[in-house]
Amino acid sequence: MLPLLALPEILESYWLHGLAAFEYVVAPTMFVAISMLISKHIISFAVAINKNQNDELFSLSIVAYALMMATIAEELGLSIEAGAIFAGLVLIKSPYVLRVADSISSLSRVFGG
Amino acid sequence: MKNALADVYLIALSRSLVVATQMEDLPAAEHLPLLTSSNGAAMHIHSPLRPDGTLNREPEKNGEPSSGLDVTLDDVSVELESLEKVLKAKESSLEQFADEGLLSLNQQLVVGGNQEQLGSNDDEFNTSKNIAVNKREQDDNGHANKNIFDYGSAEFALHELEDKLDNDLVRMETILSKLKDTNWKSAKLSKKEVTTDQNTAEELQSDLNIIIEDVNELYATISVTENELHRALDDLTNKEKWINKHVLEGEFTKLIEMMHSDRVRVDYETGQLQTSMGNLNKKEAKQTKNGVARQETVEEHLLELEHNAHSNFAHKMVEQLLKEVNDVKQEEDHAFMQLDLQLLKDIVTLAITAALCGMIGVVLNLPATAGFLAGGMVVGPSCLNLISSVKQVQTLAQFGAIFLLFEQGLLYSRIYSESSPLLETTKVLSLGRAESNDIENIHTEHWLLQNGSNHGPNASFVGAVVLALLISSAFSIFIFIEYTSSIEESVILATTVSICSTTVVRDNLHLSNLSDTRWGRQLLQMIVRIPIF
Repeated sequence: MLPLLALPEILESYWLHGLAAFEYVVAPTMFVAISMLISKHIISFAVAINKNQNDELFSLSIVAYALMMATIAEELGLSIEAGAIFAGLVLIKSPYVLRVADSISSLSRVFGG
Repeated sequence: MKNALADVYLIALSRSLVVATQMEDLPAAEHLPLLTSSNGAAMHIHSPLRPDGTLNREPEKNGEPSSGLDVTLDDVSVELESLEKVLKAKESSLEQFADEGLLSLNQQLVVGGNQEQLGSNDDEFNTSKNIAVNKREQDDNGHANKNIFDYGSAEFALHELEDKLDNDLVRMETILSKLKDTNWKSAKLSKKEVTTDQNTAEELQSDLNIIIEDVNELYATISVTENELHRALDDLTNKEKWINKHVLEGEFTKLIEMMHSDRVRVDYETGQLQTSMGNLNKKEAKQTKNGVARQETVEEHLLELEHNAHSNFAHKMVEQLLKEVNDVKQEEDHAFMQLDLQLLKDIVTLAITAALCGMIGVVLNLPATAGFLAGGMVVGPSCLNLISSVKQVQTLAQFGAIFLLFEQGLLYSRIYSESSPLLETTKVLSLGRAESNDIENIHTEHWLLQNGSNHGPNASFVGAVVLALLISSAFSIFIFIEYTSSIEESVILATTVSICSTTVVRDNLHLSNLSDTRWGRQLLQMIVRIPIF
């Protein structure tokens, strides 16, 4: 959605600023690709490790995943919030959404979520 | 043992600094007048005799008496008187010169003894002190000691010079006595009313010639000794510079290395290091081994020294030491827990305030978020200013934002999976933990309604009031700041802004029991996309 909305601006400034093209097209695309790749592996890895219902390790890995995605987004020139939301969005088809939401909800509730 | 080492260390530090102050003061106070006096002596020696060639002229004048002896005798007496004056001046200046040179060299030697004393301070203070004192006594007795740097040789050279000067002075005195004799003779001659006594005249002339030769010789030796003295003084100043540069700097670097390497204790409360010099930070009186309470810290000591130091070199050294002390002070052992107590207090304050204000909001039938906002406003820097480390707290809030938005991304995926045509497959796939659809649905419902929707029948009214308040506040903001050109535009903007916050809208929907309705879900689905942009 973000690249689509940013399209007119890119078309305007693409020839002028290659950096803008990177900011609006390459970085989000890269980020989405990275996040999809990472999320698939990380979640499956975490689940595989926590077969014996080690919930604290699972939630810790989820927290680490969210923070890492936010940091990657920040490094790519996007915002931290965008990274966090993407990190949540790429789990859309994961079968473990409920478990992830459970583990992160307690933490986000502390922060007023 | 450690305390004794600390004492030695402090004493060595202060002593080296005192020496540094003295060292730099020496050339300013002692050497310059000495050099000027020597220059003055040179002026006295040189100006009447050598540049004018009077010594060369004198024999010619003395060669004249064969023609007219009366005039030449007067001339000779005048010349002799002037020569006597010059020689006396030279003698006094040379004596002064020698005295001052010896004085300064003795001081140099004392400093050298101190240096030696300092150099051996690190091991055992008392014994080295005794040794150094003994060495200094030997120096004072005139025995050149090889072990004391190059001062022995310098002292030896100066003693030689002194002997030479004494010889010169003795010779000068003899010449002066001869001059007095000739003067007396010439006076006698002038009294003998121009009887041209050839013998006496020749005698007088030969005397004069002898005297002049003596004076020439003496002059040559004196100039040689003077040159040697100058050279010795130059050597001394060079040596002093060398000492300033290398020995003292080496001493200071040694001290600094000691400061860095001597980590004896760790303050277990703060994790800060203590050197054997004592606690660098606290001003508390510390009991030394001798039972004397040391009131001042090393830093104060150094500051005092800097205040007392008059020279640039000492100032520089003291500044460097102060810098090093500060560096050492800031070093901390990272193995120990280091707390930012202020941040901890701030977080505790924030947590307590948020909990209290959230409860108050719930009691007042307001959403808890409104209570959070109000509590944050009260505690924050705009009102009570209880939070001092705002930067860190805001970074913490960024963490909160990350988790919140991550959860909202998950929420979006939940809503998407509920409302999308892929619903059935997704639900079937998402049975990783739950066994049946019913359990999944129950769980979903619980998760969506987690904040509780049983706040009474008038919850919808309160939610509407809050929404209206939000809209009106945003509206007023846009009106007053004049972001917009027309009222309609600001109304649209205010409405948009007021439903921008997903958390607030969701809370309101929960509060007003609208979240289960089709309208509520559609609104959530719509709003949840907002943060993406």
